[in-house]
Amino acid sequence: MNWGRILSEGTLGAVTLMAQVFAVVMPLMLILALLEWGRVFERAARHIGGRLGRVGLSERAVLPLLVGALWGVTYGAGALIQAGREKLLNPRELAILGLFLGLSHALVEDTALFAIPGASLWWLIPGRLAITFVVVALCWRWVVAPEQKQNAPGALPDSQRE
Amino acid sequence: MAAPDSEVTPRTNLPPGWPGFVPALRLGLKNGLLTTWELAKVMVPVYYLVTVLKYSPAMPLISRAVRPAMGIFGLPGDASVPLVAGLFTNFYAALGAVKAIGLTPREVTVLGLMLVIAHSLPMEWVVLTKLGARGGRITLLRCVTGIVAALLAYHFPLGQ
Repeated sequence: MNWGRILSEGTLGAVTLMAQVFAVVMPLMLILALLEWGRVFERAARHIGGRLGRVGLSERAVLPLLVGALWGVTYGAGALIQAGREKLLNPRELAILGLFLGLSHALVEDTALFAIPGASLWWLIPGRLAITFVVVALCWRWVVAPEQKQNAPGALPDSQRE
Repeated sequence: MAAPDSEVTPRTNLPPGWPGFVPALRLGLKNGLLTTWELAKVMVPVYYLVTVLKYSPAMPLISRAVRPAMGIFGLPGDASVPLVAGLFTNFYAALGAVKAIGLTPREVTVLGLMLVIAHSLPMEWVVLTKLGARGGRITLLRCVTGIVAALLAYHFPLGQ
């Protein structure tokens, strides 16, 4: 093994990569701070809440969904864990949120970072969202809805039973 | 953003209106630097490790062993390194590994789609469970969906 070559290639590559990551992350964080300043997510959640047709998610479910889908579970963890801890969400909302965010979160940051080595944005954003909607709809129709029908109204899902 | 132990906070008490503008910019700058630093702590060591692995005698062996499985997705055997890194540790390690291994944009699309859907599986299983969701089942679903999505992206390239 040629250690000199490994060291020089590793250093050059790592420095280049971090410069690219910085160029992606800095504008994203500035935009995110400005969105927070304008309370954009809160306003959007208020606007969308309860209007999602048959799914009918409430405002308190839409806020963590929006933040998590766009900016990531870790970043949106505040909103998510708060919602979970305070039992703000009913089992139906929790199931949708878990399914959706499990498959699609951090649509902005993860995609922007993977665009650095040249991934196709068509697959990473619209493609991923389309796949997520289809899978969530299928799971909803065939797994979650029948299970919830079995549980008595107001019953907690298994994961919440102590 | 990403790093689990970063001090980036999601909800702030920025004053509304113009008095909040400069504090918002300052917060953005701080989070940008902090997040880049948190990512660097993951990505730089991974980049070196993968570069060492790439030139080690183990790489051809690993590569040959997994080639049949990776070939289903049109990926070279080497791509198993970022795949495993992403599934078990995190997305940012995977990005470091992808750059270090060197894949074509089409391969990055297939691998990237698989990884955006299924990554950091152990850690996010815990997060989901804490939220009160069915963590194990969702983790399984992510694996299956990731495989299907990668097959779709391989057979129907878009934008490349």
